[in-house]
Amino acid sequence: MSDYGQLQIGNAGSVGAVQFLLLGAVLFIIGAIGVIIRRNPLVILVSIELMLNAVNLTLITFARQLHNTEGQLFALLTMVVAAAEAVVGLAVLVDVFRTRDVDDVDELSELKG
Amino acid sequence: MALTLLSTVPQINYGVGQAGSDLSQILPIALVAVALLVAIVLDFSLPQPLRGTAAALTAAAGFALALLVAALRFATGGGGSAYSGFASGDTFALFFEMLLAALGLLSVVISRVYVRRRNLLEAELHVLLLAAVAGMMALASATSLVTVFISLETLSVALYVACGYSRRDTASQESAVKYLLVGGFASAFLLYGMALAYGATGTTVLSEIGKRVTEQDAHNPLLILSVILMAVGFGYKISGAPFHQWTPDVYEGAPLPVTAFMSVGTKAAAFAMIIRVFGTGLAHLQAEWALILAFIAVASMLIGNLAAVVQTSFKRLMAYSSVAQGGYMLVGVIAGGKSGFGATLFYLGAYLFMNFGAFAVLTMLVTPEGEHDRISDLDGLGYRHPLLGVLLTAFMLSLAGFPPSLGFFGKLFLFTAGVQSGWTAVVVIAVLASVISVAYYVRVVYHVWSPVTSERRLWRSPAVVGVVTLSAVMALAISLYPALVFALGLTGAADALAAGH
Amino acid sequence: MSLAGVLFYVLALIAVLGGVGVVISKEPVRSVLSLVGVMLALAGLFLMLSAQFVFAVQIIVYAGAVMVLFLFVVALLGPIREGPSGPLKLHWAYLLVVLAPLTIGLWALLNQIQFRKPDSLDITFFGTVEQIGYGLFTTYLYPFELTSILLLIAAVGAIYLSRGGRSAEEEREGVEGRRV
Repeated sequence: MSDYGQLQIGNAGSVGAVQFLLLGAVLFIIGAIGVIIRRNPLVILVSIELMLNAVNLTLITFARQLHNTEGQLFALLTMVVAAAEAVVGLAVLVDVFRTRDVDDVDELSELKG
Repeated sequence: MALTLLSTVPQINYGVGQAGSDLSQILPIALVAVALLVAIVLDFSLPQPLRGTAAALTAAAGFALALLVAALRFATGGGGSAYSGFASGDTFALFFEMLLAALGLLSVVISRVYVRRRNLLEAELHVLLLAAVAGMMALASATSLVTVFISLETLSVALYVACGYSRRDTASQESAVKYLLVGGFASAFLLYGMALAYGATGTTVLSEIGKRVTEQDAHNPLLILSVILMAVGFGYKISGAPFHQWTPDVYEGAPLPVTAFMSVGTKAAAFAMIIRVFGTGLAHLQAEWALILAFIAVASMLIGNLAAVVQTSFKRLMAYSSVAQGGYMLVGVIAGGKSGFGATLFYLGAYLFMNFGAFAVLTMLVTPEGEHDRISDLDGLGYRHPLLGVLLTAFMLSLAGFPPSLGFFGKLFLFTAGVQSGWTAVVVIAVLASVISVAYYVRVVYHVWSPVTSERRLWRSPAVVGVVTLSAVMALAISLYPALVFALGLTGAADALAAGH
Repeated sequence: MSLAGVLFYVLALIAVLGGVGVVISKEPVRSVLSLVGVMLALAGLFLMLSAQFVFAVQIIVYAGAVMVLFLFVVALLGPIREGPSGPLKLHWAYLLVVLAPLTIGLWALLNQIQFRKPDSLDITFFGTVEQIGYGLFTTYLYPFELTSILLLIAAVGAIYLSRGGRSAEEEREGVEGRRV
């Protein structure tokens, strides 16, 4: 592994960038598993937020490793996107839940054919 | 200390001249965005009865102006990169901007007819369409991973709401939920892929990535993983198999004009994105991404066509048909180069008018209670309204690829490009899949001309007939001069490729 | 292990436990609260990675505002439980097809990354508000402007979806709609 992968954290020693990236990967996969196995649409939405957070960690790790601000800017804009998606997602869910009791994506079965 | 901090930030030299030239590169997008703002302001300042009409007129004006400006700029050779390489006004972007503006114009008409018939609010749908088109145009002109992602989300968010537009209709609500959850999931994959590409290259600007990625990087694990993750994200967005399961449900549940709009618009914008990101940014990894896309193409063509055969709902049939059509278009992308990308652009142009026209015919069957989209609802359409019957027949045969229809030329260009770059096996499967597709397209034609007339009274709307006829005229015009439109596509493809080298 | 290493592992542990909590909690409210935990842990990591501004935004806007919105919706909709899950149909197939190779691939690949040479080695001013502001209003001007359209349409969409189930006719007559 090249030296570029060691990140100096102030005066407190250093941590490998790979460790941050692996943490991001683990969180991303946990989120993806949540989307696939959970069937409450609200929890799926929360899991998607978790995936986006994992990507943000990856972006910021790369920004630090490359000494390049772009990654941080990208992460900020990703937060905007995540917020917009959350707002619309919650509005759609409130709309659906208000009309009737749905707590399971598979119950949305009127469209199965 | 504060002074030193400030001194680390360089002087900003961004004058009026620079701002003007940057803005002129994205002028069609800016016009649509202005129309969006005007429509929103009119929506809350005018009295209720005028709102719908005002929004429709604003949207139509915005699209018409954008179409005009894009066409003029295309005719004068297009522009170049703007905003530090984050967007581009090249002919590739302009090609898509013209297509999308035309799509927007057609959509405004059938949306208006539809919402009035179903007794829904009108203005908001036009606002959502404007935002979706702005996002799609921004996506086609995006030349940085960041811009690609933001514009993709803009169009997606607008479409999530549009899918749930018919709010008392549970099918529409469910369509919105499904589209939203699947779309968000796919976006996360795409974003992760982009983050890794950024980590490997240190930039998000596609042309710069193109310069920094070399042949040796085919072994860079970050880039390979990035290509895989982005391909999964792209697969969802173009509803390619095996990521297509959401498509039939969403298409069936969404209001008809929204289905018609997104089946064409999202596809066009997503292909623009794939060609930009893979074709210009990661051109040196073509061997890797072409393999993954070839797998998606083959799976889409087979699964889409086989599943379409057994459908009884016209919307679901068209959904599976669009999965398969996406597969054909991918053949041009994996072939790559000017001729491959050019063929995909040509096919997208042709597909727009064929597919949109077919959906528009269905607007005639809408009643205040709901849509009637079973294939048997089309029974005897040809005798009740001969013009629509003939046009729907033409669209179906063209989608199936019968010579000398537009679809035939499109497939000819795509498959030729595929064979020339050595993807013969994929092209053979594509041809076989097209043969299967004849079965269900002809079944629709059979219903249209069956002597048994369904009792439902046909609702006559001159506007819809106009839109369908216009789509057909455009399709006919393109098929009379396929070489001319193909040349436009080639120009666009060449511009996109030039950015990568 | 250095102090930084200890700090990293503590925060990473909180983040992973929170992530697992999001996925396995039966009550949506616990999922949301677990996500808040993940976000706070990640905010700490952002600070370790010299992303001061992103750290602040993560806590104030993301963990603060967005998550409150989630909690509000959970409270509004009342207790929603998932019924006993039936057979999971395609889900497990998905899990194997998509995630198994992904997991293996990520572990294998991330362990042998060749990192790119950094743009510069001086990180004194890295991630400061000045730097972020400069970037956002120069090179990132265009994507920044695009987000305004995104936020605008998200707001319009959310308002449309939550204005009560009124038809166009009722709207014209000014009648307050009732829930179906």
